[in-house]
Amino acid sequence: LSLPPSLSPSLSSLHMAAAGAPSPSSPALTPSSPAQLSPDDVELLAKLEEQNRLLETDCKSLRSVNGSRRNSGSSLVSSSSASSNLSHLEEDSWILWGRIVNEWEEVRKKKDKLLKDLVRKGIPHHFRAIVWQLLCNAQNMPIKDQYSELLKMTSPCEKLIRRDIARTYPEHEFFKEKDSLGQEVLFNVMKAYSLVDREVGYCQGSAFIVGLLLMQMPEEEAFCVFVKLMQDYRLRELFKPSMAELGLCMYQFECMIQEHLPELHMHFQAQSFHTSMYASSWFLTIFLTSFPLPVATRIFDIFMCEGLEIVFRVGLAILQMNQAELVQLDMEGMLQHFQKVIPHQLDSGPDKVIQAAYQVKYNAKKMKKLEKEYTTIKTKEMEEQVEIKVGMLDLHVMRFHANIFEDYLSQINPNPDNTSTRDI
Amino acid sequence: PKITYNFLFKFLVIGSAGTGKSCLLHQFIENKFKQDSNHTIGVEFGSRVVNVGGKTVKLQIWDTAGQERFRSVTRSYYRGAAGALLVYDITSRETYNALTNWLTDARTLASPNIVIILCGNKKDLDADREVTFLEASRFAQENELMFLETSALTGENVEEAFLKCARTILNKIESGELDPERMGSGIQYGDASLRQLRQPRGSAAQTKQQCNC
Repeated sequence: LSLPPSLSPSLSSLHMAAAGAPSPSSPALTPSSPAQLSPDDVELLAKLEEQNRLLETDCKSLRSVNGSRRNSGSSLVSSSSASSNLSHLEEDSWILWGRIVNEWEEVRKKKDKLLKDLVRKGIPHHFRAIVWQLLCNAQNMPIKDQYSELLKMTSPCEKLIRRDIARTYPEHEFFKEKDSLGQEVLFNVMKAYSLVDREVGYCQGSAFIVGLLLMQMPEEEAFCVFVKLMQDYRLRELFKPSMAELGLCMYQFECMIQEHLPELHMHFQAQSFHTSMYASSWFLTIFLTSFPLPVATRIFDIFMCEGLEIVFRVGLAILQMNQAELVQLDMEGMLQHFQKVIPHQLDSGPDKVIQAAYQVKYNAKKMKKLEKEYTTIKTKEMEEQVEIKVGMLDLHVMRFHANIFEDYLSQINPNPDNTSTRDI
Repeated sequence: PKITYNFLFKFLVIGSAGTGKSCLLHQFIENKFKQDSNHTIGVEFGSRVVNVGGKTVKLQIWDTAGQERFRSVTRSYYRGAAGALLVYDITSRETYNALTNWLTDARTLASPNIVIILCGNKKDLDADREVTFLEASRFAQENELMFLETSALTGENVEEAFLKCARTILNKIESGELDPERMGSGIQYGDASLRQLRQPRGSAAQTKQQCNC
């Protein structure tokens, strides 16, 4: 059986390692230790690979149905046969995820690598609510009991939140109707959060994340997960009034581009095409406002498991995949490309971009170094600003004294024209 | 085919959250109301080539997120803007009260010469009006702004707002008050431009003839 190219290299290397074959060395991957995998796991992974392969065939045949009428007969047959095989495999994946959820502590402790790989393959829809909560440790949070009390309170951010509710997933079934359940719970969670975190209050962009949570789980649970994401996943830093962390992410991401895609970086610079023009929303909404929802949801699975690193990885993968086109375009052309072309590249599913994302070399140490660098730059900027302000203050004081002096002079001197000291 | 133009103006759309900035831009570019749109995160962009006073002008428009804290992101887009639509919502006094802050930002961060048109948007919601036309006109006058009430929903005065702003900039170029060649003017010559604007009329016509061969 030859492996289809769509397979995640991490999964196939894992499989081979488990089977005793030498693991191909790839710097992007951390090869797992074969000892972690029981024969059961290996079998399940093999099944998942098969599922993936069938999904791929399914996609292809669906494409050919759309693409060419002549082939539609045979494609439909292969499509339906793939689907029926898929349902068996779906069952298997349910059994697998059921087991993972039941033995969560054990899996998290002893089979973290396997878990990571499975999450990268996508958490089955019906398991998302529970698995997301487990991944961010949002179960049994004491704050959950305060939720109903919080809803009775008034938040200073209410007006601001209200303005954005109808403008958050306006095309999604759950949120689109005015005063629908979706809009109500979205408002509730945003308001409750603004009450427990007065410093952040409400920040535009965050409602897309909460909205996604609400598509999977009840409001109290979504609230707890959001609290966790804000605390433990750098989101709070991103959404604080200074939004300093966003600046840092832009800086780090730009340095990554410079290192990995120097030609593209030079083109961006020549066109005055700034990172924030396309990437601020990537970070602030974890691609939820940039990519088709099914794709963004799959990336969010990984975000829940591995954090903000996935945004850097996917972001760079996207640039890599589009480099050849982008270097041909001017600033405006590139903006259009990001707005209109890139989202559709992902219509066929997230596997390709996720796979590419894991080929990206992400150096955590380097990122830390960049953070320090950025902090130094910012501190220096702040100091300079303070100096300017102090300078201005001095000037004000001087003017003030000058005016008093002038008034004094005008009192003793009947001809004020000769006494102006305003131009000190 | 690439459309040629005489000038390129950089524009901003600024104002508080929910005043309809993105909808104004969308109405201007697509000629329709954007029914289901997300709230803007960071900045968005649109452009359109228009005809103003016999000149083809390309407007390059930056649409910004309205929440206060996004200013740290959006302020870098102010630099070198030639024109701006300063938007408030006629049904929300709060968005009107915030105008002074936005104005200060525009004049300090963009350029003191930036041409600004004040837009009282959501004109179609007259029943919920909280800011009168008269009051806003006075504010506009005091602050040397042009002023229109607009509706991104019906399209009323939307095109006018952008064109009025562009025409004023063009007039200022022709009168010599604005110098497109100054750094950060927010104005660029397009490929069709012959840089004849500031020359005497006769010689401008001549240049045109010479270049048509």
